[in-house]
Amino acid sequence: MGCRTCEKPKVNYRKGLWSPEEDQKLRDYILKHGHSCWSAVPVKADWLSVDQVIEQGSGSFGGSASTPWNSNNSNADEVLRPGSSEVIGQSNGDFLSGYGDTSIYGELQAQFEPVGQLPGDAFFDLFTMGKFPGSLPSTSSSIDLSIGVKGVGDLNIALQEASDILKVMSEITRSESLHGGAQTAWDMLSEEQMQKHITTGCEDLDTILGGGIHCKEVTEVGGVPGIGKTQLGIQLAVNVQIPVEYGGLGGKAVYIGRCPIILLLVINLIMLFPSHNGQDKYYACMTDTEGSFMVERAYQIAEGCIMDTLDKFGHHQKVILDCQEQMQPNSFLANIFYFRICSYTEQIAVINYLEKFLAEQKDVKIIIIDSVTFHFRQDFDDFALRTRVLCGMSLKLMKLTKTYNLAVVLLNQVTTKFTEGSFQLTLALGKLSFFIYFEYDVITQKQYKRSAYLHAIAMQNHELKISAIFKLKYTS
Amino acid sequence: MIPVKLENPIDLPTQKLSLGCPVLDRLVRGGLPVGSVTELAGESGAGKTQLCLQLLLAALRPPSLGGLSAASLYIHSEFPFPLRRLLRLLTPFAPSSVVPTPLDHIFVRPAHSPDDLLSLLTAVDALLARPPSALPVRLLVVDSIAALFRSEFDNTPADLKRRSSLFFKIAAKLKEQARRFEAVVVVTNQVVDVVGGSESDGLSGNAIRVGNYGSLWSSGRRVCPALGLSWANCINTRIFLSRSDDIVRNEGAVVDGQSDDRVHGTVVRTRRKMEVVFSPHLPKASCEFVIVSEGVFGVEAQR
Repeated sequence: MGCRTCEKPKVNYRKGLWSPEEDQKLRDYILKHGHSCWSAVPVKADWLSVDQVIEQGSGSFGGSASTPWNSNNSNADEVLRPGSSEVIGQSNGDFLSGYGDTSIYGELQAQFEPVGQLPGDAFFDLFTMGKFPGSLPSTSSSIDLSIGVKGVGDLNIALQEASDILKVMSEITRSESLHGGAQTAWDMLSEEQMQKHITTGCEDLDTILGGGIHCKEVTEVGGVPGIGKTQLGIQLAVNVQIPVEYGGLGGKAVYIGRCPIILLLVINLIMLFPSHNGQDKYYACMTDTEGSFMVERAYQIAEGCIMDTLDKFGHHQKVILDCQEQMQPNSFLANIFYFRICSYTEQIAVINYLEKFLAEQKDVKIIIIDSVTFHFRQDFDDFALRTRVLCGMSLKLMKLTKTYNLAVVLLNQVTTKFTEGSFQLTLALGKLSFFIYFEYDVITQKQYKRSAYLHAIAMQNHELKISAIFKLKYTS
Repeated sequence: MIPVKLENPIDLPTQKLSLGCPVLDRLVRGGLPVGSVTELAGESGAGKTQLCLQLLLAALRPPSLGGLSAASLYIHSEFPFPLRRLLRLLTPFAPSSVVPTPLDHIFVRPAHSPDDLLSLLTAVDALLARPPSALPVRLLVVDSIAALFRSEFDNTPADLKRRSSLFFKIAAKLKEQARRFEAVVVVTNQVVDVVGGSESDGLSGNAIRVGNYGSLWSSGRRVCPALGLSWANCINTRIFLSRSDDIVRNEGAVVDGQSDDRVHGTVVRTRRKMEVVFSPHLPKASCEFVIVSEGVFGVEAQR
């Protein structure tokens, strides 16, 4: 008998900030093994067995009681591991406290080595700032970044000062980025904030989306037949082409789909593409799997869009003339690349082809896939294969959004699912197929009132269910 | 690697098949579009088959008159083919100027089960590629897809799933043919009664079967198209035909010379309505129509 701790030799814990060697070790580990939880680190890295770590009280891993991943502060916001919805910790709203002595991912410290010379390290927590669910970096970026606030409170550095420091450092170290393709968190944050969204022309729907459809993201829209999904798709393809001076992006669209839906989505400027003067043209790409894309409908929508723009901006005669000259319905249609596919093999082929296509055709800003699941609902005997194929497709699309800085909108059908004794409407092929993006939940139609609900899958615990009501307009 | 065709939307064909009556054409903005699947849903006696027969003949007209100058294929599953009615419709149809022997260009095949239909559609590929008559086949009518499915499947989840996958297979085949051969595909569907709470929101209980169809009435009963939500996802356009019987009291009138008729001239008038339930390019609209011996014709709304 006798307690275990008395029998073991006392280990000298090294307290305080991590040394650069320790940071380097952690950075190497992450590059080699990817993300995981802390307890797996020593096991995977072969440093210590889990037991040994626990016994040692996790020396250089910092005080266990106050690490973000096990703090029990119920007021805290949850910190999510980047790229997934797994909660790895809590943080307080004011991020000056709550993280204890450890940083979550030490690899950033290398970039801030000069900063490390400053007393204390100041980091920002990406997730608690602003809490935009859409800002979670996707799994396709090589290093996911998150920084924990560490010891700022100790240093009595004001938050503003700390952010200034970071800004300066990020500018200095931008060229010394560790790996091509890595971005500092600051870059990502500022890009996110600068990025304007594709508005939907319907204010309520814009509010749901947090401004509009985001580029660099995949959005899924689901609904019963006839609700207006396809109309939305066509509207998006039209709106991407609105010239910049009228609040648009001036882009092209790729339409892969079947039904047009009207909802005006004005694509705002992306920081990387400053104003164009009518010479660069952006395109839309549409993939039609069901044959619902009707040219005359698209023409009507284009006309409606032009009229709306004239309403908004037509204060000046000159502006009106300019507008009419630049925006013709036919030219809108001409900038939509349309693919019509008749089987799932063609669908996979198109998505593979898109990579090459987008490399040559630089200015596509939106890809719309109508009824991404239509061809997969046939007799796929091998469900595992189906899931693999769909996952592969979704990953490819996500990669396209990041690489070419465009938006992807997937339109999906709904099906009934028998759960808990009643039938519920749910997106076809379930949530297995796509999982890290915004999702429009079922758009229902109640007595000719169409409403849209947003489900943000990324935040597993808060399903934002905001609804908006919209309607379709037809010109005769 | 399957080559992918890149097309410019302006060049997409938007040929339409006129319904044979200007009022009805106005409802559907010119006619049924080529390359998409249109469903006519309605109860028995609503006029679906009549309209289909009219379409068979309309397809023979040249494009200048709203037709397709094409032969047609009629797949029927319910009753024997209504040849007599078709012959009656032929007379007002001006064949000599257009097509000397219209009946030579209408092909009829029965189907008995969903698998039968699937294999038939595969065989139809050959027909579409090399039409036996001089005209290409560009109209495909499946009369009562519902009848094929109603008898074979139980209400168990496994059977429903099998049924759904058949829907998608058939629909994919139809769409592919519509696309490849630039054909109009028309499918007929039946309706089922909707039982239960109608005021609840769209996500509870029986309202699921209704999907998003607020209320479709026919003969005084709430109905919704058969085959459920899965099938609704397979089609492009849905047009609902309904009928209701109005009893018009006409005091003092004599009906058919029977002066001692107790009901004194009560006339039962059938009102038929055609409405667009959902469509990629048509707004919600409806219009009344009548069925006379010359065919199906729309009626202008009278103010």
